[in-house]
Order: sequence, then C-alpha cells, then structure tokens
Amino acid sequence: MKNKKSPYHQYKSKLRKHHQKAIKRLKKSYPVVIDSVKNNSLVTIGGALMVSGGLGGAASSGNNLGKEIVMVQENQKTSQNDLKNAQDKLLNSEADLSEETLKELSFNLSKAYGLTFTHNLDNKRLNTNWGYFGQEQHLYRWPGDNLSSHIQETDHGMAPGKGAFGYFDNAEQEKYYIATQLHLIPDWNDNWSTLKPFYRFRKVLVYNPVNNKAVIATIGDAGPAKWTGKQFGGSPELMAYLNMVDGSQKSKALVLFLDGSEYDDVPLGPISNKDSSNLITSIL
Amino acid sequence: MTFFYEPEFTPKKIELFLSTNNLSNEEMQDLYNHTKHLILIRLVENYLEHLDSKSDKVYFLSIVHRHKNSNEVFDFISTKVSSVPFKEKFAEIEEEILSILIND
Repeated sequence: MKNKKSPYHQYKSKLRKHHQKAIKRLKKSYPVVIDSVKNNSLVTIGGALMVSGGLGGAASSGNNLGKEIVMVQENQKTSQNDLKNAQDKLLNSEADLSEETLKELSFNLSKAYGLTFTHNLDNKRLNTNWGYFGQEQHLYRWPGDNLSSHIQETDHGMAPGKGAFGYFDNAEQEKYYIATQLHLIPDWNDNWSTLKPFYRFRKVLVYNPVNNKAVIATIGDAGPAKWTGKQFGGSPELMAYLNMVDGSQKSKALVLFLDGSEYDDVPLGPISNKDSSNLITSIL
Repeated sequence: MTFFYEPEFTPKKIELFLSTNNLSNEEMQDLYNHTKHLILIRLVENYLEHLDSKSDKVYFLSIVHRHKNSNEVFDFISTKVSSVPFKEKFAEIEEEILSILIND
C-alpha cells in the first residue's frame, strides 16, 4: 500500500485542490462554454466577436444578429482553410509524414469535419498513415453470405475467405472497410493477441486530398503485402466513393483513427466538411 | 488522453521539478499529466477572459471533450496559440503551478 504522505500524494493533493478551484471558477464565469463542452463532442469558439455575443448576453438583439453574421463568415473561412491546409500538405508529400505533420493534419481535419482524429491512439498506431490504396474485393460478412447479396459495387467480386477479423458485426462495416498492414506494425508479432482486439473494426478516417472526399471506415482486414508497393486496401464502395483507382494510376489517401466521445455515434460512410453554422449554434 | 501541445508549450520547469523528487516513472507521469491538464484549464480561462476584453481581433480555439465519464476533464487542440498572447501566459501559469507544488 502506498504511503499517503509520500511526495507523490502531497503533490497530487495540492494539484487536485487547485484543479477543483480552477474548474469551479471556469464554470461560474463561463457556464455556456462548460455546458457546450459537456453537450457537444467538438465545440469551436470562433473569436472575440462570437464569444462576446454568446457569453456576454447584454447586447441588443440587433447587435447580436450582426455578430452572428460575422461569426459565420469567419468560421466558414477557417473551416475551408483547415481543409485546404491539409490538402496542400498531403499533395506535396511524397515520403512518410513526420510526427509534427501528422499532428497538424489531425488538427486541421478534426476542425474541418467536426470530429476528433488522431494518428496515435493510446500509443497505438498504424505502420503508416499515408499511402497507396489497392482495390479490395467484398468480404464474407456472415456465414452463408454471397456476392449477389451485396447491393453495390459487385464488379470486383468476392474474396474466397473471411477477412483477418472474421465475420463482420454488420453490413456497414464491410461496406466501408480498409485493409492495413497490421503485420508490419513493429510489435505485432510479439503482441498480436492484445493488439488485434484494438484494431478489429476500429473506425478510421480515410481522406483523399485530390478531391477532398472523406469516409469513416473500419479496419476490416490485414494487408496488402509489402511487395505490392501499396500500403492500404479499400472496399469496393469506399474506393468508388473516394474516386480512387488501383493499377498504374495509383491513388493515395490519409488514414487516421477516429477518437473522442463521439466515437460510438459516428456512422460509417461518407462525411462532409462540417457545416460551420452548426458549430456556431452549438455554443450560442 | 492525448495532448496536442505545441513543443514550446511543454511545461519543462515542472517536468524538471518532478524529476528531482524521487518519484517513480508512473507517479511522475501522472503528476505531469495532471499538471498539463490544469495548465490547460487555466489557459482556456485566460483565453476566454482575453476574448471578453477584446473586440477587434478574431482568434480560434477548439475544445474537444474526450472523456465519457467525467465532466471536469477536457482536452483541447490548438495550433494557433502562437497567434494569441498565450506564450507569456503559459509561462506565467507554469510558474503559478510550480509555486503551488513547492509551497503549501
């Protein structure tokens, strides 16, 4: 049992007291912000004018209207800039992305789509986040599944076996799945039994900078092999939506983990740039 | 919990202080994370105060609620902190917390 009077506990106790005071003061001074943080997974506070209008509460209605217009314009501009920043960075990146660049991309894309993305989740990562996509086939979703029961994109056929994680939990997971090179994750061979549950059907963002299209997908299979020169594989529906092609005209995309308290609520499939006006109303 | 601090916003003085106190790695990491979170809250508070007092500039800050089971813990991402007077404020808050740790 640890000594309650150890330096650790003394420091912890001091920090906790100060922490509680800071939270209390923030709640008292800016209840709107705290409520918004509680109720919304992502809240963007877009500047002095908006916060004055949202938190001040004393301005006339005419003034508030003017402030809201300014806020929307500023936020739309910023949201578009975030996406453009990510796009420019990726289109000019041939090699692996640095840690700093990945953080910046995560930040830009999180803001642009109003979700939380990261390349490093609980110290778990992919072997790469930026790479070429190969065209995958449909996978068996459940026992007795067959190609004719897949409604869309049946031209690419069906793989002869199940994916690396076995049968899917539902049809949407297979519809928007990717294959990643799990076998190339540095500690995979030693820790695969504990790592596998983490990666199994985990939600990820797949972002194609060429057309700014993005999909929330699952990690549904392992591969492709290193010798292929590709780093990821995409389901028929995913490749079709992102306008990505295999073969000589290879397509590259960015893959990031989806994170945040909104994780369970985010549906699989295409996502669009966050409507900035929603961000505004979420805090007012 | 993931912190997206800019390198310049790492509380190095606190890290140094903790490293000289014979703490285990786990204890040090826990206190360090707690400290960073406290700094974060104070920064958000300062930021909001700053916004309240200004009307001629527009800044941006994102707050991401990352914890499902806690109302008092939240994280934020910001790469634009260098455009607001946070650098000085960060140093000031770090000193404040350091003094809390050192003194009663």
